Amino acid sequence: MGVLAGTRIWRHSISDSARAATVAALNDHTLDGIVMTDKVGACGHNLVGANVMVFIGSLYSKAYEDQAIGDV
Amino acid sequence: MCSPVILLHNWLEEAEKFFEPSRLKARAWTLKAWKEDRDIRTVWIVKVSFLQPNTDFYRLVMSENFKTRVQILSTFSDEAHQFGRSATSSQNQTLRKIIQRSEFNVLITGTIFPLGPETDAIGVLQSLGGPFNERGKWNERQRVALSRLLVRGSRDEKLYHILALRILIAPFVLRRTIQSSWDGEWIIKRTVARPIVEVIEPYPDDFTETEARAKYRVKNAKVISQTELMARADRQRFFAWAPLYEEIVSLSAGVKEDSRVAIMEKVIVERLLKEKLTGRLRRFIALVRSFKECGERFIIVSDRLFPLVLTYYVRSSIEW
Repeated sequence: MGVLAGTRIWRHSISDSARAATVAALNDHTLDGIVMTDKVGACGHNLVGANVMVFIGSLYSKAYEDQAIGDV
Repeated sequence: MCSPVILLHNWLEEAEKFFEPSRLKARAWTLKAWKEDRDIRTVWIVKVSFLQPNTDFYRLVMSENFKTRVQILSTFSDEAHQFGRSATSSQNQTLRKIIQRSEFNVLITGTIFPLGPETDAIGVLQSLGGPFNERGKWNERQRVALSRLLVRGSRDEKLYHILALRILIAPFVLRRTIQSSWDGEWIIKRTVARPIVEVIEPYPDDFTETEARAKYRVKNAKVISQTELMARADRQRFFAWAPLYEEIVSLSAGVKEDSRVAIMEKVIVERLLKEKLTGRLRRFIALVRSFKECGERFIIVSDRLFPLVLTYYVRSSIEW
C-alpha cells in the first residue's frame, strides 16, 4: 500500500524520489494499491498500473475528479 | 519548464520521451546547478514555488544581469490553470514577466476549469488570452469569436459555449490512451470508472470496455449540478465521521499541519484497536477489504486527509 500526498501520512516520505518510487511501484505491480489526495490526482502522473479508482466522498471539483480518472 | 513540485521528478524522468538526451537534457533548477551548467542544450525544470518572491530563482530572473545576458527561447507551463485562475498572485506575475521575454510559450493543463465552466469560464479564458475588447491583443474577428465562448447556451442557461472552445483546442489535447502510454503497451486492461457494486468480480480476459460500461452503467442516473454535488460531499463529510472529527479537531487546535496528521493517526489507531466498531466503521472496513479481495490494482482518492489516513491504516492492518 503506497501513499501519494503532499502531507506525510504514516511516516511515508513526501520527497520527490519517494513519490516517483511509489508511482513506479504501482506501475510495475509491486504495490497493489495507493491512497492519493485529489490535488495529486489532478496532476499529470502516469498511474497506468492501476485499473480501479475509488473516490471516498465526492470531490469538490468535478474537473479534478475527471482528471484523476484520466490518470489510470 | 515550470512544473508543480509534485511533478518535478515526473518531468525529469519523462523528458527523454520528448527529445533525445544527446540533443537536449532536462535538469531540475537550483542556483548551484545553474551556475555550473551553461550548456544551451539544458532544459531547466523549475518548481512553481521558485516563482515566489525572495527565492534564488526570482532574484536571478529579476536581476539586470539576467535580463541583458540571458535569452529565453521558450517556456512551458505545466498545470497552467493554477496560474490562470489568479492574475494577481505573485507566481502568476513572475511567470508573466518570464513569458513576455520568451519567444515561444506553451500552456499545458488538463483542468481548464477547476470549479466548472459556470464559475471559471470568464476569468480563465480572459487570463489566458487577455480581455476580449479593444484593449486586448485580439483583432476584431478574433474578439467576436472569443466573446462567443462566453455567451450562455440557448438550451442550457447554465453552460457557456465551452463546446466551441473544446473544438478550438482539440488538435492540442493530449490524453493517456493505449497508444500514448509507454512503448505503446497498455500494462493492464483499462476498465470504465463506475460506482462500487455489491459484488466485485475480476474481469475475464475477454471482457471489453464496452461490456464493462454496459454492465455497470447506472440506469436512470440523475444528472446533478456542481452545487448539488458539493452539498452532497459536505453532508457525507460532516455526518459520516463527526465524533472522530470532533476529537481530532479539539486535540489539534493550534498545532502545525504535520503534527495534526500525527494526532489524527493516533486517534484513528486508538479508536480502531480499543473500541467496539460501529456499523459505519464495519462497513468501511468491509469496503477496504474488498479492494484486496477483488484482486485489482486500485487508487483511493479523497480531497480530505482523514479518510485517506483511515483507509491506509485499515488496508495496511489487513496486510499485517
